[in-house]
Amino acid sequence: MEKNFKIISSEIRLQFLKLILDKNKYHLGGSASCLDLLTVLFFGKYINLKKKNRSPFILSKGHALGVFYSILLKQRIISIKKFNLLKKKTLLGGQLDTFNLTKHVDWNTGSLGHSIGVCIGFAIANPKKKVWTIVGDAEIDEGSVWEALFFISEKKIDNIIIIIDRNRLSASSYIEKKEVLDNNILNQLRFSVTKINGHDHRSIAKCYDQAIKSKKSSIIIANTIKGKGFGIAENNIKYSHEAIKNSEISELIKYYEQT
Amino acid sequence: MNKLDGDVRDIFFNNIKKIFIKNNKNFILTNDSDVFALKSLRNNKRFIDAGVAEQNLINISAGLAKFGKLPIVYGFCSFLTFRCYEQLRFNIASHNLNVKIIGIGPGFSFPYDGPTHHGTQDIYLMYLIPEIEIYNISDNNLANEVSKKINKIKGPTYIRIDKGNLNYNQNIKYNLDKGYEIIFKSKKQNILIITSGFFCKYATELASSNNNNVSVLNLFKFKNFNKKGFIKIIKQYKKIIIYDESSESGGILPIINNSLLKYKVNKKIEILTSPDKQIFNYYQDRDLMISKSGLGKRNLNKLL
Repeated sequence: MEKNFKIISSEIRLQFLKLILDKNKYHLGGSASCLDLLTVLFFGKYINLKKKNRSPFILSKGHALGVFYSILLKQRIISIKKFNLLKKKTLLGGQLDTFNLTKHVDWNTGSLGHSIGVCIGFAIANPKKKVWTIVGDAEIDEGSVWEALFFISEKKIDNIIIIIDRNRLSASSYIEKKEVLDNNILNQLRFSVTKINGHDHRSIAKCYDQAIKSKKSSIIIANTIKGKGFGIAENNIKYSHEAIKNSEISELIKYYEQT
Repeated sequence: MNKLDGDVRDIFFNNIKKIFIKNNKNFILTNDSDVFALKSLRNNKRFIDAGVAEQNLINISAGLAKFGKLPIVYGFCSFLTFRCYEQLRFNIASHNLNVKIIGIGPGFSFPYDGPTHHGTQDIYLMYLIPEIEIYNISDNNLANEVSKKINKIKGPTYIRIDKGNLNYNQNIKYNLDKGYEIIFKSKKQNILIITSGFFCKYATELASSNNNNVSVLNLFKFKNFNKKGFIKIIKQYKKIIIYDESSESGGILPIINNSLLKYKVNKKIEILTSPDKQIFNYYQDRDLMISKSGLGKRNLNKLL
């Protein structure tokens, strides 16, 4: 399985780079940091985007949508022809919305800090399903995140899985220090809290398995690298939301095509 | 005493309670607010008190509505609008979700608590969100009509509900599609007071003692009301007065102005509204606050 995920995540990186080369403006760094997390989520047995009655999912850090689209393309849920047509009609852009990919996108994105609270509503409406969300580590500064976390803990909402993409870079600064994550503050709430390497597919899958079995809601702190797998962009604040040169993208595409 | 006697909140929330008990898709959510009629539901699984956390409150209701539930959220109107505006705009309105937001304590109904508790700008704040409809409840009769039909009102909706016994016009037949009603009609079509919410009561009291010279129009719905019909009525009167407890920029005045501009109505209009400022005066009595602020019946009478 691990070997498969490695191949698939390389293919997703390749697809993502091709989309960027094709003038799709995506945030490279934050997309790459959660790419492996998303790969395991959608290519593991966790969320089957083709199924009607699947688990709900919110990509709270909507700027990482390019990876999500790459997964939809790779799974042939949407063809590149349809994708380009929607793009031409200006119906796809730099954030997700539920209007054109209704079956596959569960929530509009663009504003940060909302998803955990919305997931509570999802979870109460779907008590027998696990509800998943991926949030950024900079995003957890939002007060609404904490309103939601306290509510989940106090009211014993037990079917939410929150993945924190801990890439240590916000849009404009390094956020190496994060009290709530570093000082185990989350462990004091009623959550199953796990820290993992967010690029290690085996750890990710194991952690997702545990979260599904857990009788409490889970918080997975995934240590990741912003720009992971994209050479010059790795851990480089410049490429948090800035594009790298086409020549460099072409080089990266060559690399992933060969591997 | 007729069946609509009592506090307007009881009329409204007793109907909500009956609907909630019958329909298990309904959820009631609050931000640690209490209304008498709903006390007995607090232990129900579909009653959610999110605590003093309005952003989360609205987000939960949005998540519920996405899966076909029918959330009814109630709380203090100033906090349910200003405190969680982004959540309303993005998570409820942009998805066009069936969530009903019930704002209690509008206008100066809590005059002792200062500007944080004055609901004098919330109408236009919500009006700015394109998908949200707004109902402003003026009396027990309208409270009864809107609450009975709460599940039939589609889409995101903000409903303001006042307090006290406002059972002064039980014979009016409110039409929710139309969105306004003449609640006092004079024989002569000289002066028309256009008002909304709590001030309908003042305007009606003044008009009924004014020798059949003054009519009162209650504008209670602010987006999809019958604008053509509304303009037609305005054109019939010699003099128009807009009378609102909300502020000049935060209430019905800019909403009416939008219609007047759209239909190119050029008419001199007298305006009596709260000022565009946050008022740091503390009164124990709403009537006193209103009269001291220059908005009482005496001030209205001067404009006739």
